[in-house]
Amino acid sequence: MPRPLRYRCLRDNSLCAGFKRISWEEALDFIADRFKKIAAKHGWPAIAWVLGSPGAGTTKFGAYLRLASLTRSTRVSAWGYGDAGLPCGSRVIFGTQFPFGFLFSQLWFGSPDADMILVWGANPGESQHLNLMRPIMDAKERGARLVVIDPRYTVTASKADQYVGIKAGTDAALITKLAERIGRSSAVIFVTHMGLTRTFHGDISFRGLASVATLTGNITATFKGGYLPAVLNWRSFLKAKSGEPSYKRLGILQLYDAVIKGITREKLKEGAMSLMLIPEMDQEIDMPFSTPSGKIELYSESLYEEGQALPVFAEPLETPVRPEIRKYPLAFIQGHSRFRTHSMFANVESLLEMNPEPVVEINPQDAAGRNIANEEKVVVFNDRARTILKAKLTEGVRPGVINITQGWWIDQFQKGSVNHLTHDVINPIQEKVYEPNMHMNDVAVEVAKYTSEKEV
Amino acid sequence: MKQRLGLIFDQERCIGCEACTVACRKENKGQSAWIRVKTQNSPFKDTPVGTFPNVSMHFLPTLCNHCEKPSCADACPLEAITKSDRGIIILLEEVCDGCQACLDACPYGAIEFNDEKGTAEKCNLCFHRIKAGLEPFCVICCEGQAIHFGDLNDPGSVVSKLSGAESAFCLKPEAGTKPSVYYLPPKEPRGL
Repeated sequence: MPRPLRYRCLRDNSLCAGFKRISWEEALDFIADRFKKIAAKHGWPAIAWVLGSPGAGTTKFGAYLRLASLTRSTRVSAWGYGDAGLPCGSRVIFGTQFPFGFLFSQLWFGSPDADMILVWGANPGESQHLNLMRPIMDAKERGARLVVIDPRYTVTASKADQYVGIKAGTDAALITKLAERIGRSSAVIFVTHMGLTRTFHGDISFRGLASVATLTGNITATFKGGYLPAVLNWRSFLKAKSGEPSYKRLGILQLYDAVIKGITREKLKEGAMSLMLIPEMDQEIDMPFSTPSGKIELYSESLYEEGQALPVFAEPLETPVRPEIRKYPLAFIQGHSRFRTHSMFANVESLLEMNPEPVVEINPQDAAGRNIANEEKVVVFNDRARTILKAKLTEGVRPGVINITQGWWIDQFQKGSVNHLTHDVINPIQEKVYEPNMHMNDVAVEVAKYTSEKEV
Repeated sequence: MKQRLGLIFDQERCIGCEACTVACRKENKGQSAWIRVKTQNSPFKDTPVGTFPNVSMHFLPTLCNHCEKPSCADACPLEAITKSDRGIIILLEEVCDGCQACLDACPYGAIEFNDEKGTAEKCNLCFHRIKAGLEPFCVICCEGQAIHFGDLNDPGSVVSKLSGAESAFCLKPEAGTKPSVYYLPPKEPRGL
């Protein structure tokens, strides 16, 4: 079982343990007092609420947001720690932060049978969104072709009718060519996630994919009845008039209330309840696009000066597209493990029995050139760090790419960690549009056999 | 007709997540997992066969096959392994003296020795749940919805229909134990 904190503790550096146990009353008083002091000095907006992953309970999100709202303090978006490749690209093309209606809502809420499901840079068979794998396999059973594009041969890829083991860092280049191949008559459901967008130019890749969806007629802009498409688009709510269905139905707070409405402690004792209690609609709603033109913008005038008016391929920050001329020739990516939610559950013993320690997945061809055997200790390094762990030789990664699943704790490595190897370079264009992206899938490294501590 | 409860594993839908393994450990508290997910034809877990990008990876959950002719029961000198009238092969820990004859007799390697208790242990098809009208825990915890449970002797049941499919197969039919666990193979990739 996970080992949760059992007591409230206050850090006190004068104690040798560094913490002392306190009561709920003391803890709440302490925190409230600090808030008030900060607010008195700098105002409530100086307090910002940053959300993590809701692995242990989505309702926590609501508590944060409600408190931020009531105190008029700052709410940093759910992407607010820099996971902005997807929402940044989405803002440019759709004017929405998260284009749920485009991405995969058809799989959750039902739609006419698709001809193709295109999974690009996502692995719902092991990671987000795991519950998508059921409708994906249902659709496949009904005849949809499953296409998976990924430099790793993932569990999702193992179910594909067509797997494309793309060269890391070249997604946007392939996307541009893709539009020519998907005819307008094909009904394609697009599934993408952070494998694609957690790169320096992740917003461009996302815009490219959304452009393909647009050009091939695969954007659902009108919903008739059925479930509400959760287009989390704050700007359009502000513009909407109160009498219109888009306001009545699409308000975040109303949506949120609908999600939790009726869920009570008493009812939960009787049995499990679904979080998605969004009422069915009997009307037609046009999805709002709050781009400057009010339309889907394949071409963005506001990014003309930056040279990104169109989502054309740009050289990755580090991922070596031409490895032969690079000091660090291997592309380093961080897939998600089914054994954890980010770093949560990394210490659960029953899971560690099945997945005991971090390994670096490397193609046997790359390993042979470096004289590395399976399960041998290796050093993954670049100018920033040296990370020591075991090698796993697998044909599940493309030559030229190595993968270490993210979320392992630092003390689970013999030295270093995944994020010792990454960088924090800010993409100024993303900052202009929305906020900068983190790009842990845009990193170059070299791998060598571990020989002695001296070299490390 | 007597019941013959069994399982069908659909390899097309199995995503190798091992939720069945975790579920079994939590429900039955065995010292080792009574259901395990193998990566087929691969010496290493979660590792495809072939050469990139021409690779394939299929998962094969393995457990007690609840055979019609259980060689483990034949081998047990104490009658600690019995066949219930619903077709479930049940190992009675309280009768078992830990001689481990059944471990060798099982062609599937599905019986484990619990060295803390000094007895053999294996999947009892969550008999305690079945008695309460519930499905085995692995079935309801299967993320891929790849496991079907039911009465193989009932011609109207889903498991009966699926086990009758031309592609359905059992493991090691040559052992002659007539398993009540069937598999449906993964589908071939169809290309674009």
